[in-house]
Amino acid sequence: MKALHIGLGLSVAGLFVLSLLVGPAGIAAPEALSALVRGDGQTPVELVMREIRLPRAILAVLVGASLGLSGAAMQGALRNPLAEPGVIGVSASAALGAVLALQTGLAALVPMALPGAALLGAAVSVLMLHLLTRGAGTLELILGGVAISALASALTALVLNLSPNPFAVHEILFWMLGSLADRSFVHVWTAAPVMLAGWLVLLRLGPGLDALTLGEDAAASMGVDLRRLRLGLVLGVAASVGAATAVAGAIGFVGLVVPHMLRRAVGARPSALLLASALGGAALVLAADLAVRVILPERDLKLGVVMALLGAPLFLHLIRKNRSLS
Amino acid sequence: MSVFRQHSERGMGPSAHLSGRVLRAGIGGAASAAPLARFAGGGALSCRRHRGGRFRAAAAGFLALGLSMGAAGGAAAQAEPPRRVVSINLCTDQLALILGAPGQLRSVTALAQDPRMSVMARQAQALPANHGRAEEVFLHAPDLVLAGSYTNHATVDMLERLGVPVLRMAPATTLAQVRERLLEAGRALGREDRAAEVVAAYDRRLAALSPPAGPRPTAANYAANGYAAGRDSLSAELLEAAGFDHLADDLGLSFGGFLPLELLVMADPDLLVLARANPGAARAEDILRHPALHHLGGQQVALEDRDWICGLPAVLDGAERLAALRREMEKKPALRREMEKKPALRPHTDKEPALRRNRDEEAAR
Amino acid sequence: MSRAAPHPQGLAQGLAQRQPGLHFEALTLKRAGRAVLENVSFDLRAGECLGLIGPNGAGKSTLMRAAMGLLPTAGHSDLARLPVGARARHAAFLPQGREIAWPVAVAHLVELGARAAGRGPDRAAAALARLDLAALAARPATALSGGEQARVLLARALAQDAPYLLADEPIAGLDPAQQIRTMRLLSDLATEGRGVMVSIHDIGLAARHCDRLLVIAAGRIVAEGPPRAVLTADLLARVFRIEARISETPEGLDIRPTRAL
Repeated sequence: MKALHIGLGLSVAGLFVLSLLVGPAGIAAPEALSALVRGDGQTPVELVMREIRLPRAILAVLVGASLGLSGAAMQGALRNPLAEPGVIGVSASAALGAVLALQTGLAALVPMALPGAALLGAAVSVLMLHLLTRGAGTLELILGGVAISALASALTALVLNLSPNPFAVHEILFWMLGSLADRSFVHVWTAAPVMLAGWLVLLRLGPGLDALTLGEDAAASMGVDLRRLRLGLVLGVAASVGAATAVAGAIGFVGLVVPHMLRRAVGARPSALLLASALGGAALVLAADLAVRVILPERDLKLGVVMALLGAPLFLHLIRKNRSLS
Repeated sequence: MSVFRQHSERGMGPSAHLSGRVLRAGIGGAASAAPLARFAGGGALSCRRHRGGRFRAAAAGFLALGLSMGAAGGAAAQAEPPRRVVSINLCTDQLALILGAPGQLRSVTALAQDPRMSVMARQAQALPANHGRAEEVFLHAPDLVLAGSYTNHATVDMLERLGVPVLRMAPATTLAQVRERLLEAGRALGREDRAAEVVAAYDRRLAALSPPAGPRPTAANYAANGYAAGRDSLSAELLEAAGFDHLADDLGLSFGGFLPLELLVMADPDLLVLARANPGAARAEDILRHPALHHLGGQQVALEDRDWICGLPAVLDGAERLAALRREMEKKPALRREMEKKPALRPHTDKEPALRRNRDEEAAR
Repeated sequence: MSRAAPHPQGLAQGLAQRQPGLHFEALTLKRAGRAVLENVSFDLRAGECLGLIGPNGAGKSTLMRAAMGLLPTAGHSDLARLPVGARARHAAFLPQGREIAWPVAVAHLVELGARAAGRGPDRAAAALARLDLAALAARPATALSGGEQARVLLARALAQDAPYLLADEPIAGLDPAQQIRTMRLLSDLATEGRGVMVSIHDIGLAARHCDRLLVIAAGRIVAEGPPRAVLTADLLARVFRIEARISETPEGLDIRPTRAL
């Protein structure tokens, strides 16, 4: 287990450095890295490294960890490997919250209103899904998620269409597929505190999620306070996914792919999967963000595109497996 | 690294030095504002923001068509000037408002009434607005409809099937074309005299712009989504006319396109012309507020979309503002010294592949 | 509320000094205006195996869950009054649905019980050994057969090493040998001094392995007492709608249903 965490941590670190070194400005590696620490941050190389690449890499880590961790926590709580914030509409609802905060001007007036509104949107959807699918099967979860996702996306599109800003309508793609292009430290500071709070809540759910492996009754009989666990799940996922979505858009499938890939390595224990999925999510989003920059450097290829290419086939595979089991 | 500023000599790696004079990115301008037109449904410039190059190339092709039709329309107009003119494009709206006889113009687009996008919003507000839909246009019983060459084809085809004469005008992408469009619209409206007057005034102002001699500071314009207008754009020509070198040249952005923020920061232009953000939030415009831009040492100025979105005489307002800026920069002795020392630098070699690819793609279109 | 609910220490004290046992009084639960449980009162004594029998839909599972404090129920339950975190140490609960959501190793699943009750890993090892699972300890539980999974889940409950065990239909779906072995284990646990409550459909097995039976029908207790006293032809006909041959055998009371009424 420890070896797995160390391995994942090292790949996050490696990808983080690589992410700092890749960019259209073609700055040589030694110069790039020294520009991060030396100088007063006013020369162009220092500006590129500190104000453009560094926040992007940091956001990739934060967003990836949030999505991986949330996926692992939701799957543990709902006891379903298909439960994933992007797939079941949590990200879409968070995006709706964020778009509302932006378009009403609230985000500009009230500090933290942007991640706050996204958190609220996400919380509503997690809560709805939880109430809708408690004790129900995969089918209800997916159908409920599809409905919530469709509704939230439609409302997001509506709000953007009504915006007085002519560019807003083109933003629908960003909110649905996510991107880290040209995000700055403003976005890091906006999202990080909320995400970190969410992580703290989620990482503490481990023992409860382990007990839930045996079902809600068994877990409750073993001393798990289900109501508190549910509250923690809703708040933790909403904070993590909400803040991540508020600054990076809805990036799907991270929370599906990562726990699936790591489950065997941690012996399938939901508690052990939490930290591993956070690290794995960070590594995956860093890698995906590198991929979009290497494949189409000038195009702002959306992260969600890469993630869907990976995630959608896996999702279908899981549905098939799920059917053959039941 | 720009030589136009003091910090430019601070210890930088060789690549930074090379990047020096370099990047000339044009931006903003007509093309950047195109989605505005599309947003309200009538824009001649539609589509172009996203597929800049291809559509610009196409524009050249359409130009001939537009001109020939213009001639035909003009011939008809000479016989009897149209009396009920409806315009369904932001740029033809404003041309018609400048040139039209009292009562001749019956309706303009709602866009033309928006002060953010139109320099003639006040005059436009006196007229009924349309949204570029065939039905509402037809109800005005026009004897001439002015449209842009990219106005929704279905609408234009429908109007023509209904027997309404439609003049499609290509957008002006050079200062010379601004003249041509004025004359073309003047002919179509039977207002050649008025057009000649306006053109004469325009020529006088343009001549008065003559930029100061000597080294030229670099300027880049930058708009939502990191869009930079290319060398062959109206905005680039305006910057040149105001006495700036346009960053787009060395970048190979002949038709304009998306300029990564990193490259803009590395180029560190002496003047950055930013598109002014629209009301209501859009992530596309976040880039205009990116902290990296605010740390850049060069001067920054915001221009309204309305100043460049259409090829009208009003584009010279923007150019005059820029020229004034240029003269002020000239006066600062420290800067002046820097300018005179300005070495001839070659483009950053590391950047070449990406830029070349960009250029090749543009060419392929 | 006939007597004060024991708090954690109080319960241990109660076990030592008074008639040790759990008390449940006037448990009542209404759903959509219909009473699912109505005024159900009983005791579960230490050292006894209490069988809960009743036809389908009588409220057996509901009563088990209500007793454990898993359902919001009116009335008094010694277990429900405990703080949630303290429950696992006082009673283990084996739910009816045998859910194992993830392919977790058998040993880990069993350890969940020990850890929940604050017991050391030795209890988990002992439970594995007792249910003959040591050889399967490293296998993912989901890869096992239904019977093996049932044993794993029982081992988890045993690993809690709690003085009481409430098992909801622990032998449903098992083969005859496993059914007998499981019932045997439960009555052994009772012999060792634990209080075991088990709901069960097989009246014959209940009669042979339980010390006392609780018969529930339509949410009410209709009979309570030793199997021989409770399982009369009249009750079987009235509650279960069956005719049965009841006979004494060397192995104990034998109830053989012959006809549905």
